[in-house]
Amino acid sequence: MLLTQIALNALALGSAYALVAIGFVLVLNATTAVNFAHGEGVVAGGFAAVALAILLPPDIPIPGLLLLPGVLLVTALLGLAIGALAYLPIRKRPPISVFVSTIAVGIIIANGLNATFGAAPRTAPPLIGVGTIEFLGASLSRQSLAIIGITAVLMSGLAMVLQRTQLGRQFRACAQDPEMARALGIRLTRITMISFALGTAFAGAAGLLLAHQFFISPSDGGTLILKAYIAVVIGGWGSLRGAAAGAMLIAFFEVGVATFSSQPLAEGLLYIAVLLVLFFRPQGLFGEPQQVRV
Amino acid sequence: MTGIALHIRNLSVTHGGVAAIHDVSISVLAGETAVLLGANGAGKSSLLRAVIGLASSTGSVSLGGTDISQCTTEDRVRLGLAWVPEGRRVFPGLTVAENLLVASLSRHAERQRKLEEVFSLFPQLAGRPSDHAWQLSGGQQQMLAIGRAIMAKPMVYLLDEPSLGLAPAVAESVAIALQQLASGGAAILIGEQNAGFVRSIADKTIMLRNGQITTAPADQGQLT
Repeated sequence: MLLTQIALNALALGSAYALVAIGFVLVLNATTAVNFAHGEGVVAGGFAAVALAILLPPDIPIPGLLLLPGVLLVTALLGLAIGALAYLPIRKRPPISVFVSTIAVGIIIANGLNATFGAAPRTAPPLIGVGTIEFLGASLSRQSLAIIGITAVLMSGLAMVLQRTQLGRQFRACAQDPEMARALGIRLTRITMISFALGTAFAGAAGLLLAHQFFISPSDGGTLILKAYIAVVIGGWGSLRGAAAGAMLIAFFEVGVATFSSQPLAEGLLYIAVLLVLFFRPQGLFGEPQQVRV
Repeated sequence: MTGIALHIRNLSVTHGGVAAIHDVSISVLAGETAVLLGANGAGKSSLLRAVIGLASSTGSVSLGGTDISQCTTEDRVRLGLAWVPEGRRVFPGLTVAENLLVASLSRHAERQRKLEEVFSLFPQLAGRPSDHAWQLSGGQQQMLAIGRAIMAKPMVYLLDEPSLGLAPAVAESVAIALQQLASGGAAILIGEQNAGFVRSIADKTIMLRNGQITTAPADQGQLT
């Protein structure tokens, strides 16, 4: 039964990380640039939940779940602001400019949160209440089940949009060949801004999901963007499926391996796994090998 | 529809200080197929990229009498210009149907109608709507690239080396499809070095050499 609970906890943490990594890839595919403010999008989602929770009446059984639409909206707007301030004005400059500008915007967001809420870790309300549910002899955490469920709904929604709608086809076309997409009349700027909004909203949702069990503080953005980056490197640069798989692998080490060894050892083994992927499959688990035309 | 569909006036394109196109003027009538014939490096691709708005240029471009010189590429497409690039550049990770649908600027019902129109023009694609574009042969990819252009219902087609790498029979199928588009009233401007491919479909041939229109015959030794 212990194994079931560990697997559930790992799956829950991996689900939240997967939302972060998928949001990261959505922006990456639309811009070919790394949004280093993405980690602050997660943090902003957590703090949006903390702030919005004040508006809820007491004794609501599903407080966190009710906050989800508000958190998605706030962080989508934040994503639009990041895109408009840190990307659009300098998109034609070398990629390093976007790296620096998104780092700058990330620091501004972190310091803004610090000034508003203070540096201490905060916790958001539970998604569907606290405690456990007994199932086949195992005690399953309500929060973990809710994280997995919400992630499944958000990912299914994204998959449906990408596969079944004209907007989704435009997203994928822009990711594969942005110039050709423009030459078909697809408005690249619009797709880019929607990517920032959607990607940051996914990050914000992850912030809400993580902020009850793991707390959230304004300085957490750096750690979270590193996890997203590693997940994408493991899974394959630009691959949504790969990002989710990479996120699950990180959670497996952080929860599964750490339970049976120690946190430092698990972290060390995770980075050994990252190095092995880089050595033996540099394109990532779900990536295609890069070919260079001579 | 009659009259000038595409009017290029005094167009010049410079790449890194070197003139790729110098003071070129071309008119293409509705229903007419004009061919820019020239060897590699003559400036065909540069000219077509400038007309669609992907390369910066001086001079002017008018579409159906409207000056589009200041328009973005996206707006030029929405006003009725379509570009089929050299190398096809289909989206490999999208299916055949998705490659076509993504190029439509119309609403759902009209998108489906145009999809059927493309499939009737290119029966080779009709049986493979769910296959990914990378699974197609070169000829089928060329048909897909032209079909993708058709989806936007353009007034003017710009095609860059449409016969490149195609077997003669496939090139003939592509030529027949282009003839059908022209007979439907579309204006077509083709950049091509294969004189044999365009001989049967060209209403007008413009020789391009070193970025300039020349009245002298193109160097036949350089043309295939």
